Amino acid sequence: MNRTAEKLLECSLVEQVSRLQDGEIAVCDLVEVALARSERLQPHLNCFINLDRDGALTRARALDALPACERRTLPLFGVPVAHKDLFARAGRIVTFASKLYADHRASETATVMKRFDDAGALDIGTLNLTEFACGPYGLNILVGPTRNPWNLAHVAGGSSSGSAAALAARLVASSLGTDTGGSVRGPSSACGVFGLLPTNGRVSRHGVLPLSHSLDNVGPLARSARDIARVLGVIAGEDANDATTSSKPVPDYEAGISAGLRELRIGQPINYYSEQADREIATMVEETARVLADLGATIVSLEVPDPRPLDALANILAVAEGTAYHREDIRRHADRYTPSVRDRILFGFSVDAVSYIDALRLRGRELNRYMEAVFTKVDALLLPAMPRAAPRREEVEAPESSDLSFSFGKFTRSFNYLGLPALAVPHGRTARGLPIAFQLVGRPFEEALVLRIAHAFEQVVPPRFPAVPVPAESAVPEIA
Amino acid sequence: MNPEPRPPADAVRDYVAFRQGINLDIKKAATMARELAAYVAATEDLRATLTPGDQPADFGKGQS
Repeated sequence: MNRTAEKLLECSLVEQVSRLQDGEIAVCDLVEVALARSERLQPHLNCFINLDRDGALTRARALDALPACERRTLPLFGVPVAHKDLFARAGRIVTFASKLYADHRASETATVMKRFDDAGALDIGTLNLTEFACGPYGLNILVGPTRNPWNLAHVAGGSSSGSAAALAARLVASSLGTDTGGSVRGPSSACGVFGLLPTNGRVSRHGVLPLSHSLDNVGPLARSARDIARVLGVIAGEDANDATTSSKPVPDYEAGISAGLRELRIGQPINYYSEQADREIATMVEETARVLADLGATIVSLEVPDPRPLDALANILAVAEGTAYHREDIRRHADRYTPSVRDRILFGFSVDAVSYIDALRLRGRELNRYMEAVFTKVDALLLPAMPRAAPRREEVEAPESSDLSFSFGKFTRSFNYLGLPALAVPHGRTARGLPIAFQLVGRPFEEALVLRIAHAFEQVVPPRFPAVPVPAESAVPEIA
Repeated sequence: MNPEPRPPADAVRDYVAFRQGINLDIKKAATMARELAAYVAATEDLRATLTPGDQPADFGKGQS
């Protein structure tokens, strides 16, 4: 086994790209190591749905053949990536983690996949998820849930469960997920990686299976804020195939990432969040505020608009739209759905049209109200990403778990409703060894600012990742 | 249009169990209906303040 390649696989995406562009190591060598490690860990983690060894090696050889001058123009040159199995690639099976679509071959390629390809990334396979991206724990009856690399008895969050687990285990350098109510930020928090919900309309959704067209967003997961910045720069921007994308120019997200926190005002809500979170999570957020203050930010305690009605409005939109998409399939094939997913979809049949339309009508006004109440006073908000660490598998598979399921996203869903960018940033672990994270929320299109705050934070408190190979059924040691 | 939406439990049972032909556990339907009723109730105060000027916005482009 190539030791240099093994070590490089542990590095950030930005470092991998740089060393591959310099020709220090061949893309073929790095991808061989990524594939070997993925094959070794897949029986433990169950994070892949399909690994594409042949396709990855063919693409690696083509990338290795590029001249150096061309390599340097490719911001994701040669890095192994894999995405939630919700993104279409023409000619490839895309299952959505559903038995119904186990043999479904895509006829087109998602815009974000094309942008990854054009940037030189190397797609090694498809990653596990909650069936149809519908639920926070990765449950599906196609291949079963992803296990958390920090403790295999726990789930990896969801719905982008495979994305977060594969990153934490350093099988890939970045991954795309989708976030309708927390499906990028939740698993990122559960596995201890970074995950971004971009501003609504910032990233194309063409070629991505919808769950709720009002709330869905494509978001990157990675092992550092700078890596997220690099990937966002690749995937953001207008798309002729998605009329909901914004024509706003895409900034260089990496350019100001090291500018520090002086003169920034970061709001810390005094209502709702700390009382709704586990004690260890609330303590972690307090500690985060102290670190950010030491870095020069001004921490402002403030009352934010009650997120509970916003959360409820988001739920009304999500379940109604999700049910509308699935109406025919669930009528014909309800028995082939994962039970918890089926129940969520059935739930939407009882949303009345008046409630749904009111939820749409309130959205613009509530955003304006939130902007006035919060973002005239501060530049960003600091709050927990999730109310608790990742639960054990048997806990979420219990029949009475639906309350738990909806409550897991109660700190994230309101920002999908408001369309604001929000980033999950890992910060430490619970006493039981499970990762936890805080969330930074910014004004529309100010992803660069939340990434700058996260970058400053991680210089002081760098993320940790679990040692691999993963031992079964126990918390594992961490590595820097 | 019916000005009074049907009670959620009835709606779930009628729509799913009968119209769609899905054999739904009625106890589960009732649980879901209670959850939905809680969501709808949580929005009532805000919805009561809607004015004719509050229209669905073109939210897809990051409106602010």
